[in-house]
Amino acid sequence: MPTSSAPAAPVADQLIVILRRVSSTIVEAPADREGAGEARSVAVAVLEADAPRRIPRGRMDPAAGRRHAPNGRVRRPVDEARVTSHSAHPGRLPSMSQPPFEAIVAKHGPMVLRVCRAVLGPADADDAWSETFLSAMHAYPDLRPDSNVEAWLVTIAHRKAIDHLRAQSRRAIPMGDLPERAGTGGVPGGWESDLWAALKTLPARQRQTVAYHYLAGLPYADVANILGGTPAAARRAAADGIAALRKTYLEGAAI
Amino acid sequence: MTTARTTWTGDGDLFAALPEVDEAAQRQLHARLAAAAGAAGLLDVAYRTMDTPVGPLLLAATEQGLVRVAYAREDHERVLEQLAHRVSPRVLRAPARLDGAARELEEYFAGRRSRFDLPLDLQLSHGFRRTILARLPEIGYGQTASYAAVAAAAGHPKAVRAAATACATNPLPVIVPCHRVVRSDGTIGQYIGGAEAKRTLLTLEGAA
Repeated sequence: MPTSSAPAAPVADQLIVILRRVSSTIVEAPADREGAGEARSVAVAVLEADAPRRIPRGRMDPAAGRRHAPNGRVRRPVDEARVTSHSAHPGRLPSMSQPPFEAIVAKHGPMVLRVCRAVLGPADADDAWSETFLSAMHAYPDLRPDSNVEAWLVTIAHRKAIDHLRAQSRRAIPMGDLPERAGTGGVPGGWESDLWAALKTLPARQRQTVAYHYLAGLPYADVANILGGTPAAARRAAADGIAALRKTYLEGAAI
Repeated sequence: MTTARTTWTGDGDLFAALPEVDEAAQRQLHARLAAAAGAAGLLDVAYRTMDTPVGPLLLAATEQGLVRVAYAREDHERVLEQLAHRVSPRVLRAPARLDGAARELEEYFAGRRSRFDLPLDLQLSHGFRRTILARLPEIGYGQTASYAAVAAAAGHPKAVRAAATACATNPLPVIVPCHRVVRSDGTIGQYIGGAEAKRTLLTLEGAA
């Protein structure tokens, strides 16, 4: 069994990572405080939509910092996108302030791929990623400069993923787990595919909220905008998803 | 074994075991996107870079033709931002469209090509500057002309400074041979790629 011990460590690390996420979220971002952060985020979005203007970084950072402090790797899409677009080019027309699309792909491509893999599994993720960025490139010149690029991309990816989920359910045969097609989703049978497999056992809504909140870094207000429903419902779905992951993943890793 | 795994220490990032970037997958997906965008008519500006004796050159092309050649000293990132602003934000690294230009440049730098035969998109140059640039290919390989001569050839013998500005803002250096325009006193003059690059090109062509 020389190969079985190799993936075990990363699987456990991954589990730890998820568990830490859960515990840190509880400890450092209690529901009421995070809710307040989201309310502020929505308020700022409304305010900006009415009258685009420069938002001092200092006013944005506390909310962002608190929400994302447990995870330095998860980006702070909302605040970053807003602050940079406004402070760099206040009041400019869309065509005058947009970075080359190449920069969008380079900056956000990995995040979208993680989200696609989490929602769809590695086999369909490449197709969904490609469709997402082709659609995004088509619409890009019309994107408002103060738009939240991450939320925009995740919204597109969400729609593309729904198409694939429908196709998957049409393909589904009730005879247990089929082996995954070979994809680019990490080493087959490795810890990464275990993560995707664990995610796959979640109901779609939970998988989506976990992906959009934890992997894309979107606040629950944005997740709710994408999925419909309220931020509170999105938070519950994510919590349920993480709790279920914790169970299946912990037990899976312990075997 | 499992108990050891489930104890953790330190402040490891959450989701830290997930690679931030799956490089191989990203490369593959990027190439697929570039091809799909080209096929869908969405690739407004394709670009690549190439190493040359005058340093890395950025090559960018629209569907009409080569629209920009940039020296490293122009700052390629900035040039791409300018292209996004002035041509279209649909800018993607997509080397395939630049294959012809890259091949001709390689031949040129190897001394096997004395004129370029490429579709050009001169949309980044306007008015008198464009008029000047359109005349520059008349200065043959291995030859030079003065700024005054170029201005005169364009029908405005007094517009020497404007001719110099046209050369200094040439969006297609090397391809549109502004490096063959020198000062009337015989000194090499300035160049968008730096005087050293100008000297290299003129030496390559046997003109200096």
